[in-house]
Amino acid sequence: MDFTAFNAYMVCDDKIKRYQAGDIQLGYEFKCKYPTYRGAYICNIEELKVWVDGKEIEKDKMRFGCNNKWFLMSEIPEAYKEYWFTGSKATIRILDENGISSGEHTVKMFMKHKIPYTGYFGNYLVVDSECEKTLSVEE
Amino acid sequence: MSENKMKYGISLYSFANSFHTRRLDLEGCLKKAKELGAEGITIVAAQHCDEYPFPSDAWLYRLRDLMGKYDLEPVCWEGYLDVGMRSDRDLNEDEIAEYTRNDIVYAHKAGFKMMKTQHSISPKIFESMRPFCEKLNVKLCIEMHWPHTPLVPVWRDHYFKIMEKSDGWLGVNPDMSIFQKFPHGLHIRQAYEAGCDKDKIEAVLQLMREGKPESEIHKLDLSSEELKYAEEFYHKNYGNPDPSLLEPMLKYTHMIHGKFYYLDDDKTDPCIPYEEIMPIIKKSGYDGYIIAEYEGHHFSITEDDDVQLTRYHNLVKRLYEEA
Repeated sequence: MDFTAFNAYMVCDDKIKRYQAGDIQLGYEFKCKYPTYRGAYICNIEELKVWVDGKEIEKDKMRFGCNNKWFLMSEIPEAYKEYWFTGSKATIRILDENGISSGEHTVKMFMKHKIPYTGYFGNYLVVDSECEKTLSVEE
Repeated sequence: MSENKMKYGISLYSFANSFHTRRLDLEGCLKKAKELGAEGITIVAAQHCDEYPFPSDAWLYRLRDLMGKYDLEPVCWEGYLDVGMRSDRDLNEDEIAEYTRNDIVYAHKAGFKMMKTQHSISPKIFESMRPFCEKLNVKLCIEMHWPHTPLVPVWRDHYFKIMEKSDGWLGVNPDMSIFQKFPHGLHIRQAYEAGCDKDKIEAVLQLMREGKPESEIHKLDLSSEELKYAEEFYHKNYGNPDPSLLEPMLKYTHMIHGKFYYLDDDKTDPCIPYEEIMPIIKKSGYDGYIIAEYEGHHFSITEDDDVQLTRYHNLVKRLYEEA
């Protein structure tokens, strides 16, 4: 299928980073790339799901960081002038007051995204991308 | 018959995997294009410009200077018309016109004499752009890309007629995907990697070689995955027009996209019939660019774009010279 080879790049190999304020645990973050050859308007992400160690993360616990800005999942559909550049790393932040344990964790990400120029005969190509990696926590 | 007037270029789009992974930066892509023998280049703005869709003058002038540094002709600023860039609605006429004018300005500033847009511009806006093109000295062409073909009504009934009256300012950029006739090697490999049975896939390919209709695949007792690939193979490659339809378009053609997905060698492309296409181009006397556009990166991240581009140029140059 077209537009699928870059799925393997979607979850980056970077270590999981703790999100904290001083010693207070607030959650953790991992890096991701838009899984195709060009950049994307953030609102072209139609669905975003994350599983950590097999457990799906609730939407209200997820934040999306790009271009030094942070978005609630509910704000993504509005971000039509925010451009996620080709191959550049965005951040998925998971809010969890328990933080994350040291060691390795599986991170799986699913993204449904619209290819915004493909409206041939009135239909846009919408691609399902999925990527899973085992990442370790930065200490 | 005209002699070897066509020029060979490379779209930086071909280096998608190398650019995405940062093995090549913008300058690296240009340097590589030069090393591979390109006389000129095109750039997909939405891919290579980190300030897209509003690049600064500094970014545009740097691009212009880099093309000068590597002695590459700036052939075309390839704009994307992202009519679906919003989640709530498509762009309206004012917005489409604005993005198109912007791209024409960017093309001018970076030194390009051509800007490529897409089918969704609409006949009305396309025609209205001519005065602005003349003012900026930038020609405007619409890419004709699969699944569009010269037979699609908006082209037949509107776009070609507008081009005919434009004194060359408005034209077409045919992408050779419109003539693809057989699945490429990476697509077939994907089917095998997805667990499809080799004999079953070969049976589907044999039906295609024999020109049998898609309905025949249902006699092959395919699994759901095999059926998915069989339908994809037919959808993209069956019933596309004959390359002879290229000839009447060449008088409006600003550049040709030399699309290819995967070449095993430089002898032939089983997917796109360049053996038929190159003689048509040569016979017409077309003196613009054929821009190599390697697109295998949509299907695999393990191929070497250098090797693929070298094979492609060897193939089309030989076929052109032998025609």
